[in-house]
Amino acid sequence: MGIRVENLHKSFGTEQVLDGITLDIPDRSFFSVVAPTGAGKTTLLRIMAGIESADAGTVHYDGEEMTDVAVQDRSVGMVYQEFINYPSLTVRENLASPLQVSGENYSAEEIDRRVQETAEMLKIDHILNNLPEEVSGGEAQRTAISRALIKEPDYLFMDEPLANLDYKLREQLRSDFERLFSEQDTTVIYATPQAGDALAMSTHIGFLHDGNIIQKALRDEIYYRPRHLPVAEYLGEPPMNIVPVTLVQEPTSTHRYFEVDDETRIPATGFDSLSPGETYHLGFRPQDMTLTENSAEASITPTLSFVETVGSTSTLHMDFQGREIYALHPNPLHLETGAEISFALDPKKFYVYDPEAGNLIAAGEKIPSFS
Amino acid sequence: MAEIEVRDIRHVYDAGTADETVAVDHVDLTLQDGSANALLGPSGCGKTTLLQIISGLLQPTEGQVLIDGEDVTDQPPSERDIAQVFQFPVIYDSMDVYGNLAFPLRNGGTPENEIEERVQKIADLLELNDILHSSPSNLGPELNQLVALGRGIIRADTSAILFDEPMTDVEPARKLTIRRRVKEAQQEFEITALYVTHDQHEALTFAEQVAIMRDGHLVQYDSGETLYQNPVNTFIGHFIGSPGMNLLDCGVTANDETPHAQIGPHTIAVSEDIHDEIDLSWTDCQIGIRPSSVTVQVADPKEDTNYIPATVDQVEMVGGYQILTTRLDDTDVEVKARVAHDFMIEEGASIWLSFPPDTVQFFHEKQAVHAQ
Amino acid sequence: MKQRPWLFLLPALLLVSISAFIPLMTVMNYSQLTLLPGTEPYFAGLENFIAVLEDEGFRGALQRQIVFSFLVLITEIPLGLGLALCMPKEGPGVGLSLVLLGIPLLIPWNVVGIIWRVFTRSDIGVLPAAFDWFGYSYSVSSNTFDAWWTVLAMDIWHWTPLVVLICYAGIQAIPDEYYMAAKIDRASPWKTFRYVTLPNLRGVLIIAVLLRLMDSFKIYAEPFVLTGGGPGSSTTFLSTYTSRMAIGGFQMGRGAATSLIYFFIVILISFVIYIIMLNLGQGAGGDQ
Repeated sequence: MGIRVENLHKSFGTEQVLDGITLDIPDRSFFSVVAPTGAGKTTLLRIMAGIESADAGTVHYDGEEMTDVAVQDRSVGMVYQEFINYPSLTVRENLASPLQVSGENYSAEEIDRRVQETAEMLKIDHILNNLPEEVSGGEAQRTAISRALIKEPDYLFMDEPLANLDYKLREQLRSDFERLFSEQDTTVIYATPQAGDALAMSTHIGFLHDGNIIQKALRDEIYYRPRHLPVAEYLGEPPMNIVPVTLVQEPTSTHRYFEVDDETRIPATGFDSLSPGETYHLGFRPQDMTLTENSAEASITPTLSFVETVGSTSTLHMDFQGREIYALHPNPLHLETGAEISFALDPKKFYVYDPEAGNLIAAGEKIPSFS
Repeated sequence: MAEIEVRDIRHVYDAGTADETVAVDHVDLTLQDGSANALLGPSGCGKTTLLQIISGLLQPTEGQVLIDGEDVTDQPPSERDIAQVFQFPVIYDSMDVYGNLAFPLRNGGTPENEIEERVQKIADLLELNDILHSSPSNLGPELNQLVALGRGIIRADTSAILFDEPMTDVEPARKLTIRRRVKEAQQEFEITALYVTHDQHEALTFAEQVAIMRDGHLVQYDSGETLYQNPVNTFIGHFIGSPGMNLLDCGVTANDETPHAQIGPHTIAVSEDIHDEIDLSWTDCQIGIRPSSVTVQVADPKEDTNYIPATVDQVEMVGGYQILTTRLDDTDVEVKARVAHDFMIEEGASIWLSFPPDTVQFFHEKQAVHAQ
Repeated sequence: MKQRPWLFLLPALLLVSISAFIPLMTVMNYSQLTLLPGTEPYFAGLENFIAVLEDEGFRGALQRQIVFSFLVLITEIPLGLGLALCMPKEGPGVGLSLVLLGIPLLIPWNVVGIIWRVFTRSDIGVLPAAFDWFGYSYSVSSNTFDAWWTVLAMDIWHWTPLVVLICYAGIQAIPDEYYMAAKIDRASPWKTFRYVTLPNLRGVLIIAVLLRLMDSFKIYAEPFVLTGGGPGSSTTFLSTYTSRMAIGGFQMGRGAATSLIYFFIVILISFVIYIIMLNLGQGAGGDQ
């Protein structure tokens, strides 16, 4: 029961929001569409659900053409950022309503049973007799989700449902969702600008950029092997550091370096396929940077702008050659703003991108590969 | 730049009716002059009510508000000289940025040349120079919040500045820049600040001292580090940290004549400092350990009894790391452990966990057990 | 799926075409013909339009109309806004005020004229008696000045409540935080009004101004009942003039031409005012 969209085009006025999107969403996957705000995720979702129509292109559910089928004739559920529940109905009545208005004649016992089941699954069985205004934000959102799930739709579309929730609650629901949907038959399509949410919950991720899905893969694959610069720069908490470099080879030796400027040379071991004299974009993750006092080991020495220590994690915001880079350190750190900090980098965890096309040309040995 | 104290504040909404709610319940809090503080807690904990009582927009049912020792409980906001930044940018959009910043000073009759100096200073600090003559409707909510902040601190006699979840309308990608400028402004002017938020990340990075509220009570008021290392009860332990502390129900048992925690068939050593405080007859005990402190190993440690076998139920990628949700073998107990982002592990795999004793906290009846 | 919205609109579209579109086309047709009862209509091209524009009666009516609408706006808008600011924001007073305000709006328009006619009758009317007490001889039927300001007062009495209601809704929609900030900034009540209330009411005020402008430009029943257009033609406004010519004078062609000119004048003035208000005072203000 997967979804296939082919060649979707949609523009609003002169703005081309979706530019020929072709996408396969696997059956029973949790598929996140990730992109910054305003990139067109909501539009894509609405077209796939059938609430909006594309200018061109087709939508197929499980091989069957659905492009012109009205949304009420499809087996879909939808959850929005604003938790939408009927304010004058209790939670129980809210959950029952999709079953009551559907064409099928469910018996009262059947409805009760399914309401109870769904409520227990989403842990709102204790508030079934409350009104939506009496319950907390998280409970209201879970009510909205229950209402979408109670008809056991084949496809569930969620548009940033966690955006308006408390921090701790989002954390909790992220974890709950991941578990919940892995046990369900429903195919979930989830739109979010938060890379972290997508990485935490999804089985698959598609990255929307300039009207196109530029990479779509299993979560691990798109995380460990981002094939294009925009994906690499976005899909990470904090995002990957990207630095322009030139590959340099000493005339008299086989040592190769990524040269940033006259002072900074980063070892380029293992990248024999690259050509000396060429410029590239070098990517390395904030977690793969090791603090060092040893100048022989140090590859780069940026200047500290800011340290954010939360609990036992320190995020270092630094200035390197006029660009902002980040490092993640697993312990609390107390450092002075403006201090120069040295890091050792591991070439086995490097990503090398083509500066014009932005695609991944080479990756370090330790980076997992996917066939 | 003043010291703000709230004494025994209690506030009840709809008193005497069926809908009566105690929003704030006997809170005592002192904010040091020039300090950056945060008020953190889940929705409905009373933090916004407390903020409004401090700013003067709400009169408390009981208790006093003091600024530099003077009782201001009956004074309206304008007399308290407390500036406020709201959830959405509150801007005078018929004036440009310069006009907005100058507004409070012009109302006070300050001469124009002095006004220009002050506006320039604020604009420099908050990096608003490029947009001084722009209209607020053309800037986004991020810049407008900074303008609102600038307007709040521009008067030299501002005693404090209160923030009520100011990042609500700000785009996630811009939050950090804005938070940094807010922090720099607070430090530069040494203004007593209180920042209300439900996001601990924001609270812990802005404030030196964080007050955590729950159900109208002030649970703990300490530095971020102390809250993290020494939570006063299980609520704080779980609330602070992302993910929060693991709280595992346990029994107490003696092992080599020192108290240990007992979970199912497994015995876990606790921090030495508290050995003397633990009573072997206690019930309702829990140990707390942060996911970042749990050591994870795939290879069988053989006879090393410090390791406990467990099975991986869930692997989540969170904040640059991976969080494994594991279940200790032969128990129903769930433990979250943090591992590197490229630690390759599958759901269902068997692993070994170790809990270094100095990182293990002990809770009795939900309260932390500390060395005396 | 795409056709469904159109199906929903069909009844409304039909109604609009019958009640608005077809008459409009008819008027446009007539305006180019000379129609005299009992004769064949013959094509007159732009003759009718030129005749209308040169007619003293038309120009007079147009002038009076513009002055009247102008006076209506400068009295009703500030008055309405002022009253709205005085209204309580919550509590039992709200319901009471809204009801009292609503009463003048509910009265059929010609009845409004009749009420004021009774007020102003020289034998039983309140107004002549009151003025007499002050030594002023008041007469709507023979004094132009009295007729004018009475028509104006009647309109103010009748329509200011609409402005009040619109402004009141707008004021209620302004978040409290703006007023809190103004208090913290130590703004005086006037400054608070000027910098918080007024900018946030922009959208609402545009609506109020346009509504009153367009409606006052069409005013017919009330002055007709009160003064009949007199004394002389001093209170004959455009709509009275047009209908008198077309129906009373059987000059359908000319009447149609007048209607069209009338129509374009209203659109033009409304458009100009709209653009002006949209750009007043910079910034967005108001609500979308």
